[in-house]
Amino acid sequence: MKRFLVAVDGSEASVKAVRAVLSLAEPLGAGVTLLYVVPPAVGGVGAAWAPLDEIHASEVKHGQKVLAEVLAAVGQSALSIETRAVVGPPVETIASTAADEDYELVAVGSTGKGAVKRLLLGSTADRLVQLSQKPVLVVR
Amino acid sequence: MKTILVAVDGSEPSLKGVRTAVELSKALNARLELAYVIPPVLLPPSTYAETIKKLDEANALMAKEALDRARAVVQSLGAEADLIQLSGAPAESIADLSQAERVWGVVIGAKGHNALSRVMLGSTADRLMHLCTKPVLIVR
Repeated sequence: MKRFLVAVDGSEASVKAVRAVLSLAEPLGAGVTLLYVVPPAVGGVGAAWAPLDEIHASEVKHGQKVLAEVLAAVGQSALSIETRAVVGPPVETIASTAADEDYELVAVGSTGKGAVKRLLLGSTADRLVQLSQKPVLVVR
Repeated sequence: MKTILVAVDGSEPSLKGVRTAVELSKALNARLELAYVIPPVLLPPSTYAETIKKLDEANALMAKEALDRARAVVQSLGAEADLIQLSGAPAESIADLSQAERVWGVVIGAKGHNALSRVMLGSTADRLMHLCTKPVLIVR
């Protein structure tokens, strides 16, 4: 069975990416996984009060909430959609999940800012197309 | 009926993009359009008309060969495609064409003829993903 991976951060562009992938997956009866990646927190001042584990756990919980919101936003689908929230460096985690689990393609929303802002924003899509061994669908 | 636009330049990665696009077109029940863009060449004003004519002929021949090769791949997979030949800046021309209502999205190879072997992403694919407002699938 074909499987598609979508990187989700809750942005409008990532919801569009989910919609685009669903329009591909539905006629194929393909599997769809929505992946939310929490970047690892940096320890430092404050680390003593809130251990990293706790920070990560609450971020993952937030991710699960975002995933549920995205699912609600795209509405009913005939497909069973898997959702996952994990901790890791975002681009590397998305690319390695797509490659290791042999997804057909990986989709990502792009904030689509211009030439200057692209240095600051939309960097996940930008880096993902550099890193990914699998085809990348960029949706804005 | 929706259309999937495929940017081709005759290179191996662009043919891989063609194969992926055929699969997508079957999933979406979409038509395929293969587009080749002849890039502009700056010539000194003193260039002989004869030279310009020869250059145009050579470019047209290359475009035809690239499009014919790509169409042969499409036909070998049991599909059909329309051919489009454009002149101008490649990424900009493809992005303009993708604005058409009929176009669902664009498929492009991660690297074309011009990319050095060590770069991960060709400049046309990179520019296109930043310019294009429709989904862009980058195939490696």
